[in-house]
Amino acid sequence: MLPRTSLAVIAYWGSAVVFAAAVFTLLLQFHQQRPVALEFVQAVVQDLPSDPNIQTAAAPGQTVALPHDWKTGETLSSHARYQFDLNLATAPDRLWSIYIPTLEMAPAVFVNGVFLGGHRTLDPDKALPRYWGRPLLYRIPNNLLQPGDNSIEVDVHAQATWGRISEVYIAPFEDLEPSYNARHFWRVTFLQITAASAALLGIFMLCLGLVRRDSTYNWFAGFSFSWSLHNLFFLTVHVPVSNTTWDLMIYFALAVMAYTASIFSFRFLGENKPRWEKFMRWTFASGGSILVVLSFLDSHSTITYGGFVWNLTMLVFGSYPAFLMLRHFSKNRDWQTYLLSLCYLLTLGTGLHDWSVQTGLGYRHNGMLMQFSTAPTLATFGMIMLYRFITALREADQTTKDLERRVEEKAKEIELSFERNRALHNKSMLAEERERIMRDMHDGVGGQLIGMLNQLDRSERKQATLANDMEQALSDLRLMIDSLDDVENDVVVALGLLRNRLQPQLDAAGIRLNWEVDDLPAVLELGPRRVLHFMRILQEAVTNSIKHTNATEISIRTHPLLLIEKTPCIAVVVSDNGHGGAIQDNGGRGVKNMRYRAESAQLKLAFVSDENLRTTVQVGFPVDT
Amino acid sequence: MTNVLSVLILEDNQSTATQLMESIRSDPRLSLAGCCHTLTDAQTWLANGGHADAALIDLELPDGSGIDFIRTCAALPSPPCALVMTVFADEKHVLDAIEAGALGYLLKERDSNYVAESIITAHNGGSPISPSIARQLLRRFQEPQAPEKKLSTLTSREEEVLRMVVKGFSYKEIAHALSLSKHTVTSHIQHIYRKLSVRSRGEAVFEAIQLGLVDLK
Repeated sequence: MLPRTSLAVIAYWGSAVVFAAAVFTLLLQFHQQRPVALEFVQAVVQDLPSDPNIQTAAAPGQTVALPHDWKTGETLSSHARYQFDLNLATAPDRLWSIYIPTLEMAPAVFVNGVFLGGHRTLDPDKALPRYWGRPLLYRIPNNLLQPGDNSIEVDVHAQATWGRISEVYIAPFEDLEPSYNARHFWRVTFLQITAASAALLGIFMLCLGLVRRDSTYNWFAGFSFSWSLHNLFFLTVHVPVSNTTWDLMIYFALAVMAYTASIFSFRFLGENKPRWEKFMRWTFASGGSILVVLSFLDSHSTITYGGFVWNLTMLVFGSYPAFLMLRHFSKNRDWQTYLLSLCYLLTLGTGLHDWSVQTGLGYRHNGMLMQFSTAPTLATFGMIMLYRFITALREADQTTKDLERRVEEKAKEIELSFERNRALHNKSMLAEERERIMRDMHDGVGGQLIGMLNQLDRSERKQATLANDMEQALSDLRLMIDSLDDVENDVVVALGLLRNRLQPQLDAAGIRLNWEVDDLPAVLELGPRRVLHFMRILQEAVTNSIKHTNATEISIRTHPLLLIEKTPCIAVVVSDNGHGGAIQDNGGRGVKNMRYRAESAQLKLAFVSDENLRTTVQVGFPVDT
Repeated sequence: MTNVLSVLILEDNQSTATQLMESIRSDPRLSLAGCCHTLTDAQTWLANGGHADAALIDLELPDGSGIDFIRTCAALPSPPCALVMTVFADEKHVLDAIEAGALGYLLKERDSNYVAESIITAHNGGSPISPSIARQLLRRFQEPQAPEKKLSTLTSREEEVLRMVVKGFSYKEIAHALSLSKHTVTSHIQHIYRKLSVRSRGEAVFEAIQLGLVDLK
């Protein structure tokens, strides 16, 4: 069994051979369709007395073999008359015709001196009709052919000095018509269809380019349009401008083809060739300018220069993308560059043929062939671009689906992660809160209870004192429970809770409370811990006032904005009308506790004394927190 | 001569119960209708035709919750003015009790001299309230409700009173600020309590209808 690589080589090169054979067969068939008819394979070149200034293709009276091509000969001429003799035993009993498969460029046909068709006279102010490549079939009216000798004359008007005529056939009409129709289809109708298809393909590719926003499609559209124009120029018989101008248009269409094909190939292969592109543009501009100038000076030189130098240059430019395509194929062995390479080779091959026809280096009677490579090339290119478009769409679709799937997965992951984090956070919060409550219980109620137990054991203190301590422990516990309430970041709610606890103490002490509380801005992250510290500080301040100042009134005021230690705060201020000394308790231990609590809860605390040594306690939540 | 209010005590702690009984006996405006130490005792006392103008109810009982007794009382033709006794007046316990039909709460304190005054105040239409409970009440009444529930809502004055309670203002201060009498303020609070109780019963009925547990035909 052959290894895979050998199979691939056979497949590729086998299909290349089949492709080439198919094209070759197509081309050959033009020449296989020889009609069953009398074939004139030689003619006598006649002088044209009506136009003595025009040189003839051959010396008058000279017998030439058909097909006759006078570009390859040494004689320069723009006009030739071929004369054929036809000897008939009897007069034809049905319609006969003359069939000329190809000539260059305009004919005039006569039988026994009677004009049958073509252009007997040419208007010097109008461009020469361009029949090249088109088969010609002329019906011979009944009774025009006589028994015995008949004279058939064919005038050929050439552009400049390049003229030719193929074999000439004469036979009953029904014998010649099939050959004429077949050749007409391939040389005219088929090319018209091709030109129209190329234009439609170009429009289609432009649309794809707009959808995909990919310039490769646009360059291919340009390639299709230029090829369509090139073929149309070739097919036109009666041109609206001079032949030289028309030829210039064909040359320029060819240049646009070469340029767009090159850029298309670069984009298709992902090759970046800015210098080559610039060089092509420069060459087209300068070469084109020379052509235009020449067309004004000497139409013959235009054709010579255009046919030889310009078209050869286009072939060279066209060879470069073909080379790149082949190189890419040799490296990657992909079917797309393989097919594109074949198409390029076909186009270049036919182009080279046409160049040899135009320069007279090759056999000229097959006419131009490059336009026949339009159909396979554009069909292949179009198919590949369509495939590329569909693949891109599928990939985009797949990518979208993948992205959606990944987004969904990520969303689930994030959701899970969020849930995990939330669970962890909750766990952590619970642990933190448990720890705080334990600490508060231990430091506050626990410590107080232990102290009371010790006192009971030692019977050091009076029952009344113990009861007070127990009451204090209970109050502490209530404050802790209050701090667990969700105060929703509202300091005023915390104050409300505090007052509820303070009022019995104040009532017992006979102290009036001025409650000057108003709405305050929300304090962010006002959690239980901060609330408890805040309430304890205020409670301590109030307790100190009750115990140490002999005050009869205590005021608690809210301030939406107050500077405490130079920091703007949402603040609460506790003041009294006592004689001062509120902060002189327990050797300053209460103040230390208050400061410790303020620091722990990120609160600002200040003690402001007036001239009467009355102390005002300011507690605030920094605004920036 | 003013009527003497009969008071039922439901308290499992012997010491506290004794202290409360002493407080009631010592006030000529009050009389002791009974004292029970368990939920079962209290239910039996009612079943045996017991009647009181007011009831002091401890929530944590050995054989159940005082809230069940409040519900039983609320279902009576002339229910006693139920007051819950609590150490911390925490919102959960108090609100549950109010929803069940209690008209107030009493803080358990070392000194029980205030008890008699609180019972009389509550019976006369005044109920105590703490800022945290006021805030919870505001929340409850502000919850969006389905139109078909047709539950009672707060008047703007009641809402105003609650907002001031949340800020820690006393009844007297609220009355002064809103140009009302103190009695009106306390009445507002009791109305709110009743509304909450009615509301919670209404919600319960609505839910029961929704679940097909009650047939209105």
